[in-house]
Amino acid sequence: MYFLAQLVNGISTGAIYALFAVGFSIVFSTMRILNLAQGVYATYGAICTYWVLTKFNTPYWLGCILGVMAAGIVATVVDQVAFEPLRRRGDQLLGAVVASIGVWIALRDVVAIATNSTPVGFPANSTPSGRIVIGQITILETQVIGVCSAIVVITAVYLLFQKTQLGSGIRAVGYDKRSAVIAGINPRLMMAAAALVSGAVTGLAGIMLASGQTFNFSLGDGLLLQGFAAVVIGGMGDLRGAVVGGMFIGVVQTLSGAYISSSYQDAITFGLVLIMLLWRPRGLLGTKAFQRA
Amino acid sequence: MQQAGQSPLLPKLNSTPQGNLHVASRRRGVYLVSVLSALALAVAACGSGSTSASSTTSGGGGSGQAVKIGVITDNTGPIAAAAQEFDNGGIIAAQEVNKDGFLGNETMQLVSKESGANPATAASDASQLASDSSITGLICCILSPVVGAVKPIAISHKLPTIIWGATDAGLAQPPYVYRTVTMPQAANAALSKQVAHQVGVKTVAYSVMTDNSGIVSQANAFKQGFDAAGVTDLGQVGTLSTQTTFTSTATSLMQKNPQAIVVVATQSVALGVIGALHLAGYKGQVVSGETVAGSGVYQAQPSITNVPFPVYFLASQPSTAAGTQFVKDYVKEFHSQPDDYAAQGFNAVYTMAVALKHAGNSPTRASVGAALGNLKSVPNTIYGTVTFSGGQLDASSSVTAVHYTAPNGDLAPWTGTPLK
Repeated sequence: MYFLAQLVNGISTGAIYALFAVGFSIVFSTMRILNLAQGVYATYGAICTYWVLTKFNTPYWLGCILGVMAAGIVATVVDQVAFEPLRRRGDQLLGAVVASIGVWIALRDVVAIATNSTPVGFPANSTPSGRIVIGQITILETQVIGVCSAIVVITAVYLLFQKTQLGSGIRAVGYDKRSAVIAGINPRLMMAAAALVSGAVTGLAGIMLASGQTFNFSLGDGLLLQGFAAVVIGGMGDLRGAVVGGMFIGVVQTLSGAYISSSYQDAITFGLVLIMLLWRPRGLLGTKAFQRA
Repeated sequence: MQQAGQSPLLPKLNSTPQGNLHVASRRRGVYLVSVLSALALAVAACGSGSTSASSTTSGGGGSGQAVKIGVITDNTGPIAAAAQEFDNGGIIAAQEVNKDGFLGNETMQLVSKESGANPATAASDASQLASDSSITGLICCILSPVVGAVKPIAISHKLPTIIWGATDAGLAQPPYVYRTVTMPQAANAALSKQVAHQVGVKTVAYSVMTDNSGIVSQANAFKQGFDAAGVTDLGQVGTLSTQTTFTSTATSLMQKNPQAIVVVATQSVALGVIGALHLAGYKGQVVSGETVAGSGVYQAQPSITNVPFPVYFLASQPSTAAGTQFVKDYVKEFHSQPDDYAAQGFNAVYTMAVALKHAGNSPTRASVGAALGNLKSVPNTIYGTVTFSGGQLDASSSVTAVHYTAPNGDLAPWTGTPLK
């Protein structure tokens, strides 16, 4: 029973990592940017939800939607202000990494100043706090919501990229920008759309993580590390790989903490990342042409 | 014809429409960078606030020379909320010292530099202050790694230094480095005995953040206290400072079925574990350390009510006349009650003032260092009479167990309810 209880914990944690990794992966596959500011979008999603819930006493679901939208907008603005000029100059690798570090620190400090670096939490009466008891296993409502949200949103993102004209456009730009332009696609618009979706999904991951616990301005930093590990393990630029990697990291981290030691869970996680990089550099589901989103 | 000074290898960007576009784009870029730089500077200015290098003391006092004491603050960065309390407490102490003419004809002037709790920045601040011969003493540091960066500089410049917040073992190093931190270890041991006695717990499990030596040391103090009270130790579940969720930690702790769970970690992690235990339905007694003290904690995690933690100073019930005056002055200046961190800030500056007084007229680094070294006890502090041993302050007689109370999160003395 203890194993099953921890497996449930691992799956719910992995669902959040998967959401984050999907957001991370969208950026990587379409823009070919290792965006180290991605974690900040999770923080902004959570902090905006917190702000809406506390200031306007809105229902939880509405706070979540507004938080997701806020994170998407922040990501789009960052993309247009920090990354678009670099793309125009063709300076996408090192320049983008440096720019993303700058954005990460600046946006993170804004939240730190706004919250006075103190921990905050969604109001207790506005967030789900129930428990579902099945035998000796207790499942929290927040865990159920997190997993269901991840399933719905990741499926929606997958369908968006695979079955819609917008998704085809984004993928085309990610694959070959010049050919996409010749085909009449507006690359700047597609990049902005990708940034919006990526930020929104990442913001949702932050909101799900923050639900039911306290958090502070560094909420996204932990997610960034786990999300990056998930993307490396699952496969750079592959949505399915990001999901598999996120779930894998969540379950391995939880079970290693429960049965070995929590002190070593990061070492185990990133040890696996190292092994994966040596054994299969493109990740479990990565292909040679990893632009597939 | 080529213009003077222009390289023949340079393309003439302005000579074509495309070149004009480049220039326009570059101008927009420069404009954007300028705006962003201005924004960044504005944010930095907001962040540093009153913490830039400045003198802070006021309140009248002697008309003679000002004795300058360097202060390295951490009012920005990861521990800004607590650090501002330290700083505020220190400011009040300097004001009281000067207002009361504690140093006779001399006044105390605090010269502050901000480090953001960054060891490299703190080391730079310490070097600048130590190089200024008018600085007679130094007060600093809440995090142990920051102390590690500052201490060698203070020692090499023979600058008497008081550490006001870091709790790792062995940081005091007379004759130059002293520590007025009210150590949580002694308080934790006292609290665990109180919990064992008042609540009647027979079994206990621990949630310990294992990647911080100071926290591990604090957890060991809890264990010693519970062991001494005959409580059975059911084991420990580790957490990490980088941990993102705590549901699994709560499951592991509850699996041990303890009557009490002690949560020892930095503030955000401790609140995460306490919240996860509450959500998971844990009904036993949760206990924590001083790290859960601070403004906004109750609002962030209301389930923390009835979780006792130790403090050395309780503003609602100061045990001494000096403490009462401190609370009065603090509320007047900052419009809020001082917490345990503010008290530590106050006591550090007050201790430095006592050393300055003992050092005589026109104190020097050498005389202040000698005076600090000779301090064995200091009466009439906000904690009552405190003692010094090996450069470390001991105020363990003033430890009080407190908890947050609904609906506003006010701190009140904790009296445990026996287990049913």
